[in-house]
Amino acid sequence: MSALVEARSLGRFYGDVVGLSDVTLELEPGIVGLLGPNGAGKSTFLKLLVGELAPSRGTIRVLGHEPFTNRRLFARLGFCPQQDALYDTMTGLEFVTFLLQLGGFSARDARARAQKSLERVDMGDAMRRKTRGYSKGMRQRTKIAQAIAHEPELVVLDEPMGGLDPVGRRDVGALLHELSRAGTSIVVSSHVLHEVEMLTQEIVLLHRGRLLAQGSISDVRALLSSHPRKVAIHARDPRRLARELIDIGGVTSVRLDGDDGLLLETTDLERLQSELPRIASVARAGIRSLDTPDAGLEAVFDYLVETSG
Amino acid sequence: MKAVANVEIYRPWRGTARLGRLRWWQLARANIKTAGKRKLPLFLLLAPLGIATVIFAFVVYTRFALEAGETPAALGSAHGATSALRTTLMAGAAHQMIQVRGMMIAFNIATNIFSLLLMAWFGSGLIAEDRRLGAHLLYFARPITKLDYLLAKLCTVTFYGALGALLPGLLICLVATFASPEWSFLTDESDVIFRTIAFGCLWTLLISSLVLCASSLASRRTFALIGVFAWILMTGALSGILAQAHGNQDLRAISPLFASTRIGASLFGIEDGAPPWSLSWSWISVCATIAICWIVIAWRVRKLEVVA
Amino acid sequence: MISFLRATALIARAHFVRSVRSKRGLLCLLFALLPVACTALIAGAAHHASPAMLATNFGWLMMLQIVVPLVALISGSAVVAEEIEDRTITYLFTRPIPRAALLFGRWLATVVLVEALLVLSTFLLLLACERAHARVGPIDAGIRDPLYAAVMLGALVYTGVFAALGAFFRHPMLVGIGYAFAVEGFLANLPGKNQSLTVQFYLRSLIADGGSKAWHRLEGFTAIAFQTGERAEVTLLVVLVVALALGTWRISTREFELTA
Repeated sequence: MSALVEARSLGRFYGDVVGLSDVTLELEPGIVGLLGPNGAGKSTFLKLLVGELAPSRGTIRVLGHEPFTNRRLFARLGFCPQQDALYDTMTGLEFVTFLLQLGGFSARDARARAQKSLERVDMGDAMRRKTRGYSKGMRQRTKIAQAIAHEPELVVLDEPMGGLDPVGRRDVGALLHELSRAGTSIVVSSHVLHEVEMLTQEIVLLHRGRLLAQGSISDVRALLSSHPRKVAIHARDPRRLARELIDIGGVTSVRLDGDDGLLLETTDLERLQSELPRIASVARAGIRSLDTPDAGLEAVFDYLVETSG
Repeated sequence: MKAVANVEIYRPWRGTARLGRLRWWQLARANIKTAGKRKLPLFLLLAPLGIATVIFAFVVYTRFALEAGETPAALGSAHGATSALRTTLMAGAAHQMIQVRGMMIAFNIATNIFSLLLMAWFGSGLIAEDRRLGAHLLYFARPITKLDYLLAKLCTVTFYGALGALLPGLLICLVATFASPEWSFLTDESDVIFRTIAFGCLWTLLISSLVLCASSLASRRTFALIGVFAWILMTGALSGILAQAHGNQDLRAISPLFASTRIGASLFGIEDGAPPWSLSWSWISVCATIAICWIVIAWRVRKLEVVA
Repeated sequence: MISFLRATALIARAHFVRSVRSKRGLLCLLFALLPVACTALIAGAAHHASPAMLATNFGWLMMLQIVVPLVALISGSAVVAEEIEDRTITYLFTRPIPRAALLFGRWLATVVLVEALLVLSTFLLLLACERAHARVGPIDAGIRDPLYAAVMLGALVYTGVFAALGAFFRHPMLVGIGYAFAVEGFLANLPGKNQSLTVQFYLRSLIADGGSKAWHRLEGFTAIAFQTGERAEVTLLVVLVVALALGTWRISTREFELTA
């Protein structure tokens, strides 16, 4: 399968400020999460991706096209920008209909699609009101509606969950999953890690304009061999368990955590996992729970950002 | 659920609050600094003033140099008896033709458009942008009174006004002082210095008031700029039409620009070549404009504080 | 892909509706009606003023020199800049439409609005002049027709120039103010050949060529060597075409950096 997005040595500068530097990556179809702290270059990357900006260096191809001012590509693309901007004198329905008409749909077709799209984002009741009276969440939903209304092959969303309440976030998450199942590829940026984790396991991590990591969360974590994995165990007798565990190869530290907790770090998680049942039965420690707290995206993110300085 | 208070973050402050004096000055200084960071407009707006200052200063220097019997190098050197005669004749002509007070009024008329531009550019956003960005909420959340706020804004715009309307005039006076033989400019015509200061202050106050008034009424800096120029041009055109329609030149004093030109001529003691409209009406026009502007500014700033 | 004309028409319609309801539209209306209000006041009070004298003075000094450039500046500079300031340009630039359609669509809507406002303003101004206190008769065609022509052509050219500035500059209104007042306001009134570098000169030429003798009573009118009306029209249209062509080129190639 050909890559959805291909970037080669991609760079973008704003005068002396580096927005993005030497990014080379390929994104496959599906949902991809674009992660990074504020100022990491996420929005710059997305603007390059949707052709709003031209690269200062390198190339980017989206669905096989160079995006800057490429109208052929724009017909296959939906973009939900980060900025909270709508035409305030229009209703939500007029706004989406207008943009669909600009996409080449007839007035009737555009209106029908706009209506359907707004209902999909739960804006059915408010779509005939002027957008100037919308709440932040409603504006966000309208922006998402215009991005998906023409059923594009690729939907690019810049911080789509911003301003949404928890129910709204869940609904948008469900909508993106639904779109993905229907074959639409999605690139979504966020700095809220659990939002991305909820949507996808495939991530691109940017920091200070550079590509820090790319791939599935677990693969990226596995690549971070220099960081020992943390394992949290709750047991009836953690002290006895600790004495046994310290001798296992790869375990670098063992620390008691409260009355029944044990926190250990290992560079060889597989070995620990294979030896733990045997040790637990020998020590009669009564293990109640076992968790790897740093296997999640947040820990991976922290490690990478920390490593990159 | 167990309640937890983040006392380590929200610790109570202990001490005595002491209000600093001249609080408006801090705000004014910050505003002047911020405006001054825009180097290109500052350069573009000051460059014509600088060039005009150099030209007028040179003319004034020439007058005194010729009067002293010297021919400035730029006018060609003088040798021999014929040249001495020429120098004497030129000195007489220069003394008659080049009067410093006349030069000052000519300079002010020639350059007031640039000082107007300078004040309009740097002053039009002072209140409008504060309101648009909500900065006034921050100011009024601190011990800054309405008067402090207004003084700071006025100080900012008058600073740039003084750069354009006062400083060049004083520089020319300085040149005249040092170029005049035996400090004759200081002894005979020192009133020109005070008149220059008076006219510069009046012009700066008038335009500052107009600019701040437009800024307080507009929602954006650009609209305020348009408002200032529209007011200047429209009153100019209207006064011209009115004067022609009624056959009464005094009506030209409606325009603050024309009115201040008349006042300028009077301040520098030029009555023969002065514009033909009435001096008293010119004063009334200028004072009324300033008063109306400040009433509007006070009303708008009061509304700002209510919102805050 | 959507055609240029269809995109232009869609954008023009949307922008027209938006402009009519905007604060900017209201400001333009106020400025357009200001000379009418002044004329009405003076026409009622001035004993020495004939309708022709008022019409030529207000038409020349207020409408042509101030109101036409000002209204065109306020609305023309918003053609591209408003989309940038409101940060909505992203929606249009990520649609399969030629970028030039944005400039032309919004400019067309602006021209319709500005022309309507200024023609209405000129009509009311002339109406107010006809009711002057020292009435000597209705305004003749030699005053009326060239004034309408100059106002309409002026609105067309100025909005085009200011719209094109929007494609080049981040703050076109500031640049436009500089141009309107320094070039069109100052240079156009300096004696000599410099005047021919301004749009004002050609608008005045239109009046000088097709106007009646009443215009000649204006201060300084006879001292200027005007162009023929035909030549002035051609020059103005060339200025418009060049401005729009440059604007089209710039908007098609320029990146618009928006902040979130």
